[in-house]
Amino acid sequence: MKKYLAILKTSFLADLAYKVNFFFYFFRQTLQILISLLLWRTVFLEKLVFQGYSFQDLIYYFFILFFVQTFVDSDAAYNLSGLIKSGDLSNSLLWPLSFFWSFFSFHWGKKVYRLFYFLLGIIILAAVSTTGMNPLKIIIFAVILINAALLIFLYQFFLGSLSFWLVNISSTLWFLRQITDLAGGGWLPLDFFPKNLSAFARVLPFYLTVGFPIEFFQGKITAVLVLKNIFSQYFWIFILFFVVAFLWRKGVKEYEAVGK
Amino acid sequence: MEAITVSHLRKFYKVHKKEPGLLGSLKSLFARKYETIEAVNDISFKIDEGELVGFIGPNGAGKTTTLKSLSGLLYPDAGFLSVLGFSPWDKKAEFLKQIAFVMGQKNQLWWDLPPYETFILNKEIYEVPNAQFEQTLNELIDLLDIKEVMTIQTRKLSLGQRMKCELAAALIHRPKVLFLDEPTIGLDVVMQKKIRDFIKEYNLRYKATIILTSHYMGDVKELAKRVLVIDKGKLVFDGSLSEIIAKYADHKLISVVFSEPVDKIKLKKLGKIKSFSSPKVVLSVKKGQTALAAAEILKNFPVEDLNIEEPAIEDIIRELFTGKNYA
Repeated sequence: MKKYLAILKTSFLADLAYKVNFFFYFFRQTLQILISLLLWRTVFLEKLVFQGYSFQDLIYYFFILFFVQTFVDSDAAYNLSGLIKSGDLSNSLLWPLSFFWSFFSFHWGKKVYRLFYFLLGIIILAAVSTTGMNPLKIIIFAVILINAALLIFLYQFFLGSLSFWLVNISSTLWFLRQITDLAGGGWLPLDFFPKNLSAFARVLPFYLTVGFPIEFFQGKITAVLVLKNIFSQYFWIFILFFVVAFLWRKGVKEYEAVGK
Repeated sequence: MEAITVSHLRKFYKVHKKEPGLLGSLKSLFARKYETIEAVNDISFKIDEGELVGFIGPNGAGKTTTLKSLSGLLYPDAGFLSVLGFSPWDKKAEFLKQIAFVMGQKNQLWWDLPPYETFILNKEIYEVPNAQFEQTLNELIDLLDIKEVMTIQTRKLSLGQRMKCELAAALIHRPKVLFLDEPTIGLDVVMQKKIRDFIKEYNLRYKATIILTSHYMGDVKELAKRVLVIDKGKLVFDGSLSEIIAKYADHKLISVVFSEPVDKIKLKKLGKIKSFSSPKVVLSVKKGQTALAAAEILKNFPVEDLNIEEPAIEDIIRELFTGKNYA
């Protein structure tokens, strides 16, 4: 455990070297929200409520989305693919550690100081929440978010390890990312989709990573559905864990340790 | 005791061949052509504990592939490998804790942090006790002279400084087996010498088993008593450097300084002229005939100075690689 914490710490320190980078991440995301809100404003000029959302609800949605993504978002696939492609993976493969957990620690080390903004944002959002916040809800929200983050990490790890076979997958990753974002509720509330489509999106695991945490925070879903979705999160985590372990064992055999 | 055993190791790569240009790229989207490269083909050798062995061969000979297989990075296609009694591919923690692999063209130091942070991280990863860490680090700082640079961001270090820190980072856990792949690449002669001295010292002090690959014959000449020569995936020689000379150098060099200009054609009869820049001439003469040729020269030419030398090891190796007569 101590070894993995050391990796987390080192990765955090390395990321601190680029504070400005983080600031711009924050800036870019905010800008994106403002632009989408501007576009949606025109829709709400004609009606006060669209698919059950007032303009204020939508603003609230986008801000929860922003902070949820700060927590769960991951570029693990991109990083892992880079390690494989460049051969830098060799360094970590020589460590007397599990690569999966080393990479996991590395990944969270890079997010440590996003977490600060995340907490700040969530506290503000909870304070202005109209659906009521209580300690139990906050604990459940934390569980849902941690599951969501784990799910995304596993999914990204899965995509990244495809690089063992398909060397350059960066544009595929980009494309997949847009699709999964859209299907998960990362562009707009799933309620805005046509009924069939939104029902379908809610069956997909991507919903469990973004849409579900947001809808829970908004207080839009029933207790039964919350439990069912948390169960689904564990189900997918379990499945992906095995898939990833299997792929990894196969992939490392394919690994060509390039770079010379 | 043997530290490393390699028996009939084989590793082939499949590489995808692409015709040049855009059309070639388009074609390869639909019908990919693959070619098999025999990186290592049936290699066997044994290395004793505490031995320092030089591994030489032209680019693409299979040196790095062998080292990567020995460190568990590559999965061998066939053959048996044992390092300190472990099968490298199993990647057992006890095995990985006893080896280190330094690649001269790769870095394990964290780019955005000072080397010291990598040392600390490695201490934790390899579970080095505090006291041992302090002691090893102090020795490394001393031997490599890196006290000043340890706290400077890695990306701001010079290549030589970085290489020294790379070595230090790889040795924090005092590995018993060390694979060094081109540790002096790109370094100036002074730094090359320092790194060499350090490797020698580490080998003696910790009785570490070391395999070293290098393109600089100086590294091998100075460090390794035993040399493995590999070419096109095959082991073509295993023995000492002096044996290489005895076995493959079928001629000696006679260099003469003349006191007055001489006739080139007359000289040609005695041996092959390697260089002719009056008044100095270097002749290459078959081994058994050297004494006779030297006597002839002394008798018939106005000689000021005469030397009989073994050809440089670099030349022998080069001829070996280009001539390819390993028999």
